[in-house]
Amino acid sequence: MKKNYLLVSLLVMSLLFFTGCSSKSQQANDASKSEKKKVVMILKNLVNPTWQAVKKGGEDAAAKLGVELTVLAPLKADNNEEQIRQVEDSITKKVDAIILVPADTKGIIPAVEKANAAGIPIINVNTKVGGGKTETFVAVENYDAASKVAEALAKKMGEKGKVIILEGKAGAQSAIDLKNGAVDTFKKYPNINVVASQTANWNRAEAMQVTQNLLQAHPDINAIFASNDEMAMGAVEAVNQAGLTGKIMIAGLDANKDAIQAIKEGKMTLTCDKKSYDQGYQGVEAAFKILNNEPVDERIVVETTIVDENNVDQYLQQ
Amino acid sequence: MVNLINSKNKFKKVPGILFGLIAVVVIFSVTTRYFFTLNNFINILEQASILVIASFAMTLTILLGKIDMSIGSIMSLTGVVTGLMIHNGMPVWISVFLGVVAGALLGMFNGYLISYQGFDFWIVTFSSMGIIQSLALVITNGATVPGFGNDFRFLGDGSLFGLPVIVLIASGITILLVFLTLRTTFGSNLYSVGGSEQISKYAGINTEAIVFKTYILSGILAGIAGIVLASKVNSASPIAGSGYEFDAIAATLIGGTPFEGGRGGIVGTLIGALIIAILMNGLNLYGFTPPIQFTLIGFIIVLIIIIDVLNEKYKAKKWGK
Repeated sequence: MKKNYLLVSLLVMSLLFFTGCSSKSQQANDASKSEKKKVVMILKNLVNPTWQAVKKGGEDAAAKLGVELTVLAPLKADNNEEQIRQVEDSITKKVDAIILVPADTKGIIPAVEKANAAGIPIINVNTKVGGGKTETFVAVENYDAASKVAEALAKKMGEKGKVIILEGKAGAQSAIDLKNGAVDTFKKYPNINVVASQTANWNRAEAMQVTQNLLQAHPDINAIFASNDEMAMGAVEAVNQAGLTGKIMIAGLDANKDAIQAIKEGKMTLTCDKKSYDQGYQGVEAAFKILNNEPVDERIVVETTIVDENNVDQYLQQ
Repeated sequence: MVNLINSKNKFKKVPGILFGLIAVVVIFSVTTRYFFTLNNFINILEQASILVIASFAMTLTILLGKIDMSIGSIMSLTGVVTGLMIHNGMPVWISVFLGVVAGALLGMFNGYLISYQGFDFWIVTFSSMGIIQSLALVITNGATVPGFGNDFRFLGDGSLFGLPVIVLIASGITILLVFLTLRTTFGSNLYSVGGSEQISKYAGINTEAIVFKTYILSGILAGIAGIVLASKVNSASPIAGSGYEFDAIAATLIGGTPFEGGRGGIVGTLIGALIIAILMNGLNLYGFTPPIQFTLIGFIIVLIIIIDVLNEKYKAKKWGK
C-alpha cells in the first residue's frame, strides 16, 4: 500500500509540473494576445555554438520587436524527420510564422509544403530549403564562405603544399557545399594538393581521431581545412599531440570562442565569422516585417569576415 | 515448453503500459490546449507510424532473445535503393517491391550468419549496421536522392477514407503481426525459442529455421519502414534511418519486451512507440528546448516503467494470496 502512495504522489507531481508550465505560458499569451506574434524558430541542433548564436540573435531581436519566440531543435542532432515533426506540431499550434534552418535541404520540403498549405509563412535561415514556398532566405553562402577561407589559407601557404579536408556530416547539404567550396578553390592553385578528405561529423572528438589517423598516413601535410571550428579544434588537439603545432596551418569556419582563443595563441591559423548571431537576428526581423505586411527581399545576404592574427584581438573583446 | 503454456498469458503485460499511455494523454490534454484535437491525434499517428513499423522489426528479434542493430541502416538503404530505381524510370510498384526484397535479403544475410553459422547476434548485426550504412552512402555518393512523383508519395503522404495511408499501412502490419505472433505455430515457436533455445530444440522445434525466418521478417519490416519514410519526406537520404535502432529498442523495452526475450510482444511495442511519439509531440507543443525535452522524456519513461513494475508486483501479490 505504501507503494501506491508513491505512485499517486509521482503522478500528482508530474501533473502539477505540467500545469505550472502551461499556466505560465498561457498567462503570457493572454496578457499580450492582441499584439504579440507567435514565431517558432527550428534549428538543426543546440549542441553547436553556431546554433546557440543564431538562437541568441533571434531571442534578442524578438525581445526588441516584441515577438513571442519559441526555439526548437531535434533531439537527435541534425535529424530531418524530427524537424518535419516540429514543423507539423507548430502548424497544429497555429503559430504566425516559422523560421527554419533545415538539416536536410530536400528532406524538409514536405513540411514546408504543409506550412504553405496552412498559410504560415516560412523564413529560411542559414541553409537553403530545396522547394516549396519561402518568404526569404537569410544566410551566408556556405560555398562562398568556404571558398573565402580556402583562398586565405592558400595565400598563407604560399600557394603550395598538401592539404587535408575535414568534412561535415556525410549527406548534409551544408557539408557538401563547404567541401565543394574548398575543393574548387584549392583546384585553382596547381601546386596545392588535397591529399585526403574525410568526414568528422562536425564533431570535435571525431575530428581529433580522424586527424590523428590522417597524420599517420600523411605526416608531411602543410595545412588542414576543417568545415567548422569544432572540427578545427579537434585537429588543433591532434596536431598538438603530434608535436606539430605551428608547423601545420589549421583553418575552420564559425569564429567560435575556442577558435578565436586558439588563433590568439597561435595554435590555429584562421577562421571565418559567419555572423551566426546576425543570421538569427535578421531572421526574426524578417519574420516581424512579413507579419506586419512590410516588403522583404527574397534573399538577405549576411556578409562574412575572415578572422586571423590581424583582427583576432577585436573578436577577443566581444 | 514452459513458455508455450505461458504464451496464453502474453496479454497480461499490456494493461500496465496502457495505463502509462493513458496517463500521458490525460496529462497533455489537461495542460495544453492544442493537444486534444482530432487533427493532432491524426498528426501523432502519422508521426508514430514509421517508428511503429521499425520497432516491430526490432521487437521480433528481441522476442528471440537477440537483437537487430542494423534496422536503421536497412531503412536508409532500402529507401535509397527504391528512390534510385524510381529515378531511373522503373515503375513505382516494382521499385517498392524490389526495395522490400532488398530488406528481406539483408535480413537473410543477418539471419543466415546468426542461425546456421552460429555467430554472435551482436557482432553480426553491429557489423552489418556499418556495412549497410556505408553501402547506402556509397551508392548515393553521400547525397540525398531528391523528390518523387505523386504516385510514390501516396504511400507516405496520401490519405484514404480520411486517414493517412501511412497510418493504414502501420495498422495493417500491426494486425498481421499480432495474428502471426499469437495465433500461429511460427509465433508460439518464436516465443519458445526466446524463452530457451536449448529447450525448444529438445522439444523438436527447428530453432535455426525460426531464427532465420525472424531475421528475414525483421529485414522486410525495416525495408517497408525505410520506403515509407522516403515517401513521407519525399526524398531518400542515405542517413535517413540512422538512430532508428535506438528508438526501436526503447519502444520495445517500454512496451514490456525484455532483452531476455520470450515475453512481451507486438501490442506492447505499439503502445511503447505511441508513448514516444506522444511525448515528442506534447513537448513540442509546449515549446521545450532539446536539453529539457531529453530530461523530461527520460523522467517520464522511468515513471511509466516504475508504475508498470509496481502494478505487476501488486498483481502478483494479489494472485499469491
